[in-house]
Amino acid sequence: MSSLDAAEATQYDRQIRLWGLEAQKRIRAARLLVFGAGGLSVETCKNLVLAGVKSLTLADDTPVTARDLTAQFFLHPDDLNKNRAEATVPRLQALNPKVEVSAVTGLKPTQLTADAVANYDVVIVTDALFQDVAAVDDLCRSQGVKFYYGLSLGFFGFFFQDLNHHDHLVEKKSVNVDDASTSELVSIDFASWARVLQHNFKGTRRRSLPHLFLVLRAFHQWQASNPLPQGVTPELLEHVARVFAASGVDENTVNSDFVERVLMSTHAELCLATAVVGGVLSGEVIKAVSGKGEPLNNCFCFDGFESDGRVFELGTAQDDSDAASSTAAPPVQEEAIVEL
Amino acid sequence: MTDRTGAAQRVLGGDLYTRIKQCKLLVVGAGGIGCELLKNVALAGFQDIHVIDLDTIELTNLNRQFLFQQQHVGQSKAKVARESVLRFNPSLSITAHHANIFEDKFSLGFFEQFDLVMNALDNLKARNHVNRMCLAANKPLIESGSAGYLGQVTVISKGKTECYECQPKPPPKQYPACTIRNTPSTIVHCIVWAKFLFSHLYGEADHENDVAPNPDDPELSADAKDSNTAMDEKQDGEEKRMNTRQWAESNDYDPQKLLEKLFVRDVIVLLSLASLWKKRAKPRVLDLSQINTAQDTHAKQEDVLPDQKLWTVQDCVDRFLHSAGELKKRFQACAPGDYLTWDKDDDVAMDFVCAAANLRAYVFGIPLKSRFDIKSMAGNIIPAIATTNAVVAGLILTEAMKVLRGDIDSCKAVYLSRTAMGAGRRVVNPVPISAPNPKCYVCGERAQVTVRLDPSRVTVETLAEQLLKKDLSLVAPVVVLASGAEMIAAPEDEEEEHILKTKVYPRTLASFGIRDGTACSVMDDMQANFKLSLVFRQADEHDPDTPYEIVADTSTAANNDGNGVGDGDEGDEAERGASSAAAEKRKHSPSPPPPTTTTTTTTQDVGDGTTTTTSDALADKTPAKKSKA
Repeated sequence: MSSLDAAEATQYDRQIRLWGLEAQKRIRAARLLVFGAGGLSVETCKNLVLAGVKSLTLADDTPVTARDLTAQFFLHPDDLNKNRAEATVPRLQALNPKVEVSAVTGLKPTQLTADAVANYDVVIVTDALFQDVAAVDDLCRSQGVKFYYGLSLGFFGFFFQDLNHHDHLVEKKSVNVDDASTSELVSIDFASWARVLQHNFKGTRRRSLPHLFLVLRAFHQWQASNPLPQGVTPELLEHVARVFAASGVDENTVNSDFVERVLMSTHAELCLATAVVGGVLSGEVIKAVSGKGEPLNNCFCFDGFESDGRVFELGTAQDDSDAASSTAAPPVQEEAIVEL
Repeated sequence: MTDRTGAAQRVLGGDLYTRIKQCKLLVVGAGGIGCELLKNVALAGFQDIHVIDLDTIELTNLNRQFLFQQQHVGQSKAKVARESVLRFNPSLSITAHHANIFEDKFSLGFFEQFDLVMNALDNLKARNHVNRMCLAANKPLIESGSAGYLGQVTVISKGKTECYECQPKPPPKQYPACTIRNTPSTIVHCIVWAKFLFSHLYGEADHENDVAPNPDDPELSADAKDSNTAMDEKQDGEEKRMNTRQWAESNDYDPQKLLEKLFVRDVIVLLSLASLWKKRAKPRVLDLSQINTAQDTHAKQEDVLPDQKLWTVQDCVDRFLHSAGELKKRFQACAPGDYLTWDKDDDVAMDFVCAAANLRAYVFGIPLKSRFDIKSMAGNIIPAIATTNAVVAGLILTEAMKVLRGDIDSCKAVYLSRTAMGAGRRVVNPVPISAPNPKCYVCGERAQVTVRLDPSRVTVETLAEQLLKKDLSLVAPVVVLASGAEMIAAPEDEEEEHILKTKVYPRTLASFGIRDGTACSVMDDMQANFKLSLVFRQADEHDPDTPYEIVADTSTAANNDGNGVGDGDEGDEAERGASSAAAEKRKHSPSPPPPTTTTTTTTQDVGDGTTTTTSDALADKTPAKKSKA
């Protein structure tokens, strides 16, 4: 990979001091395809364009509505009815002229082909229903493309990442100031989204359950045929309970207050969640493309009422569904910020 | 008209939505976290926002401060941030203050007009100040910070939560003057020396401090006579009486002569202090005739940034001579009384420190470092990235929602880590906020600091400048003796300041009648309602390196952060951990939530914050400074 020129060295100085020149070069080679130009997407895109990826293609088919303006800061009131991606791209581009930023209309995630996917290193899908992205993930897996699926609603947010088989460096902090820091190569195998959806939670303790994942899944199934109700109805709660039960979760675990909070949050994205979830998601993309740092494996759930962001490893072998939460390997101490 | 917040209103609920709309908000700082935060508060529906930032936009800000672009470099952060935010929400009222938070206009009355204050600051001193102003005005404060991948947000509410200064901050690492002047063993020691050399030569004249070999090294006490004799032999009478500054002046700041003095003659002097080298490797004299051939070979240097290439010793000599020549010109062009200040972004000043540090490292057999690495250490650069700042700014909003609901009790201190932590596998980890520390000298009811010193040796200057301003973060200290007399008054004008500095500062505390057990009141002319009682205890000995000791039984919150304020690279420091990232790792313990009381053993927490602390120590920490040797 070619070296950075002086202007790039200055522009990226602070992050090179954090993740190093090699990582920056890898970031600079990364080609991204992002579906959806809503609040979560634009938070994610902003951070990745700033970080200096090679290219970012933003795909969206929908017009700007007033609802977008709650969290999509690159859309202005006078953008109403324009295509969301086309309205967003010039402002995203202005953040970093060195990144190739472009808009695509008329392309849906489900229309992706293997050839099209192979042009990218990373595919990020936002604004899609749970049941609609398994095929996209499988396609990305087949092409060795890193896959992300995220959504944000009100106080809540969620994302999933599938890096398939991923090698990454974990830096060990050197004790002696003059020692060169040492890195260790670690591999992780990620579950596919299809496997995640098959995850059985039987035996998982209540506090180890990804409640948000389960409720969102129930909502998305409901949305496949009906719009969500304005308030929590007995029918909705029954439906949620059925989805819980189908995943091996005791129906009594359903907390109607929580279901109501999530339901109220479906009305709009709020920046308090898009900023957090988009920030963590883009940080994961940087880890993945730079091969540096231990990725979050594999689902992230954020609850903005509690300021709580947790990782759940779903879709791996059933017997570790609980064990994964309680006996996961301790995170490796990593990253010397400033080598002293 | 489209109600852009109509949807948000449904999610937030009418009450909260109204409170956001009616909340008058102050955002302090428009840097890394500040840019993200201003975006968030504008989207969330805040209508009346004030933002204060002293800084102008720099190129290295652009990788994360997304409200700024290339064409804005050099302009006010506060003003450009305002314009950028108004572009996506033109209906807001944003008032931009391109100003220093310590200015008089940001008085108690100024703070009292707000309903909520959010800090997005880059330095301890300003954080302490806003903390005190918010306590005085009884306004809730949301405090935040980031360092690298780590971030932190907490809420401060008078009487309900601990304040920013309730827990002591880990003091930055200090280096004994003798290590710096005589026996460096790491590159950090050499960098500290080189920065001190810069200010000693080109900075404000201060003839008490020197970088030259120090004959008062305690290691030499056993054979002090020999040492002094040895030094006498190595230095002619005139040179011996002069400090390095005076020597440089008498030699017209000649770069070549300076090089020879620092790396040849001073080294010969050090070598003559034989007892220093009984147990450590002797330094080597820089042999200017030899180094042309003694090129250091460094493999695999092709594919790095120019600044990451290691300089050869010859490179160091060349750069030293060149930068010393430039600095000479600049310094001699200064008006009388004017001087140079070191800045890592000034290439000549940076070259000088890099070359001098590496030459000293070469002399002492310490591996050389690249300019890139030395800049990080000397410039106290806390690397900052967009992702961390974005998350932190989001979390400020989640906590702000609780504050606006009137539910301070449910507010949390929230920590962002890079990997999932603990059994709960948390990346964003909320932990309960500690209750106020009753002994806190800032928010406690009986604020008291006890200091142990020798009043006959410690001057008013040390008390005012070191203890009160640096350690305790006072801005305009006023010290009133039990008699009611003001020992230190806040100067109203330049004349009063001159009198204070020339007539009062040189006096010892004893000359004001201070002795063991004396108590006096300390107030701050700038920080309304700040008051503490300062109690003096007699120290048995006087150590010029540490002329006083803050006794630990009251709040030890004396963060001996000599710099805190940073390096002019606010963007970066701005995002520094609110109470250092070290504290974070500690709190980031497995769920269920960790104990609410934090211990004070923060310094031992070898997290990522350690490097922060260590590099802090470099910014202004010039240990030799206190030396009266």
